[in-house]
Amino acid sequence: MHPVPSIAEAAADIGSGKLSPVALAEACLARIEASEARINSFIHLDKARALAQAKKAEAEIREGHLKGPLQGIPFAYKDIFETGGLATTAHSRLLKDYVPKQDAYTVAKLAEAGVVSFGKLATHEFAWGGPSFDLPWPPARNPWNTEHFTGGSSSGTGAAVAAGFILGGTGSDTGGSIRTPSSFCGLAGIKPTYGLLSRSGIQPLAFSLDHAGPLAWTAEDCAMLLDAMAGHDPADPASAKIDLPSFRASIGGGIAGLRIGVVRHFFETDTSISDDVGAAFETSMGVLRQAGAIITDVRLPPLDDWFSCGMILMISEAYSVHEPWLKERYNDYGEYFRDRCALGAFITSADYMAAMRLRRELRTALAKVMTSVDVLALPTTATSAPRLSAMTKYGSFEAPTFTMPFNVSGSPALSICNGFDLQGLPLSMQIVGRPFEDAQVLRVGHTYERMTSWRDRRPQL
Amino acid sequence: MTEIGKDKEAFEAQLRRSGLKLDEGQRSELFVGYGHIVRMAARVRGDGVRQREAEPASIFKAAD
Repeated sequence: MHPVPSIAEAAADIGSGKLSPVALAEACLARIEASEARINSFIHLDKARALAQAKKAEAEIREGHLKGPLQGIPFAYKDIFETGGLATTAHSRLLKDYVPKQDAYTVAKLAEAGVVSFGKLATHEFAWGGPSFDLPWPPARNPWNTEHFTGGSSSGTGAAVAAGFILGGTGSDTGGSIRTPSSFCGLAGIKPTYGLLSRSGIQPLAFSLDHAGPLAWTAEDCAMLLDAMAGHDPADPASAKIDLPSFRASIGGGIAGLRIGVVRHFFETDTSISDDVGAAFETSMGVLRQAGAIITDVRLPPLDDWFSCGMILMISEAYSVHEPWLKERYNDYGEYFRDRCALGAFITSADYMAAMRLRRELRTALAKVMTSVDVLALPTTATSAPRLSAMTKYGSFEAPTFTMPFNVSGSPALSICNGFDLQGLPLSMQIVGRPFEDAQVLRVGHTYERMTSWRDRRPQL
Repeated sequence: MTEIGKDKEAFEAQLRRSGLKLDEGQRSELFVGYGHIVRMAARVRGDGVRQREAEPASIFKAAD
């Protein structure tokens, strides 16, 4: 077995008695001990609690109290997920001492499934303001090259999973915050359909765009985590009441005959991508074609329509959350978050409603395209991870992203690793499905990962 | 008045209305971002192509 197993590999070995949860936790803690000082992925690492939970899992398994395949799996939470009795800071001075009374819905579900909690992970301030150096904790660094950006805002989760500190973690995605760190850190990460996972107990950024989801090493791992995290939560008004499939059980069987639509104009004419991203994407389409998929190009409204729509909504909604604190405690925020969020003061109600009307038009156009194909494919990001020193406050406002369209639509969107550039940094592609067809998206990702060897490569720390 | 002058005047008026208390340096920083908001708001408004009664998206439904 590879020194850092995937969740599926670890679960199989724990289930067969070949691997002890305590030994697995100790191996992860040893990697943390050796490298965390260079990665900064944790805001709060709780070694004692992790070991105690691993011992408890081991005893439960020994006594036959089985909870499922996540029992004993090293895990951690983006620090906007509330954890009862444990500080939830949102990586911000404003919540530095905030200790919630209870777990977020998804945290409670994962605890029920038996994951071993290693603690709380770095994010961008309130899931948007980063990478920042003026906050109480430094930004996470990319394990593939620590001079490079992890992507955000689930930055600590991306870094910690890639480094093998944990096998999976939670993220949230309002404009790409699960998929971008998955892309830059070489992971699998899914932004599920809006409404599939509860948002209750997660610090909000923008109500109508926020999604919770997992980041892990493989699409199969993400499916296993979705199995544990999904479910109807009456405390979240957006939570869907639907019959849930077993995501993991749905990802086998291949993709013969599946119709894949490539949104080529997004990355060939609406904006541009690096040569490495382009080459990896075309090679990946060849792999999926070999698996029996039927691949055609499709056309959606221009990328900047999706991006501007998402940004106007996100900034307005975030401003409505933070307005009282921005008025009273402007200087307690980091510069990136406050200067981005305060722009909500300049968006009028008519602008917001124009964005909501455009959103309806965009969703209608997407739904029409999705009658002729089963999933969409496109790169996740335009380049591999940029250098941290190249990141600027308004850089993310300047070019439309490939992730925001699917926050606007609420569609399930998975990012998977599809190669490496000449610097050894991961590349990625995105698979997008119809609402609540998350299992199909994961099936495409799983099929691709099984046909390629990218999952064999880990960062050298 | 130049376009930048008009923009600056609108920016200052909206900033006063917001109640945010910023120093000169902070206002200058925010004005850089303001240009992006003006551009994106114009994009979503779409030059009046929409009917006055056009329905917005439902917030809590993934598909409508």
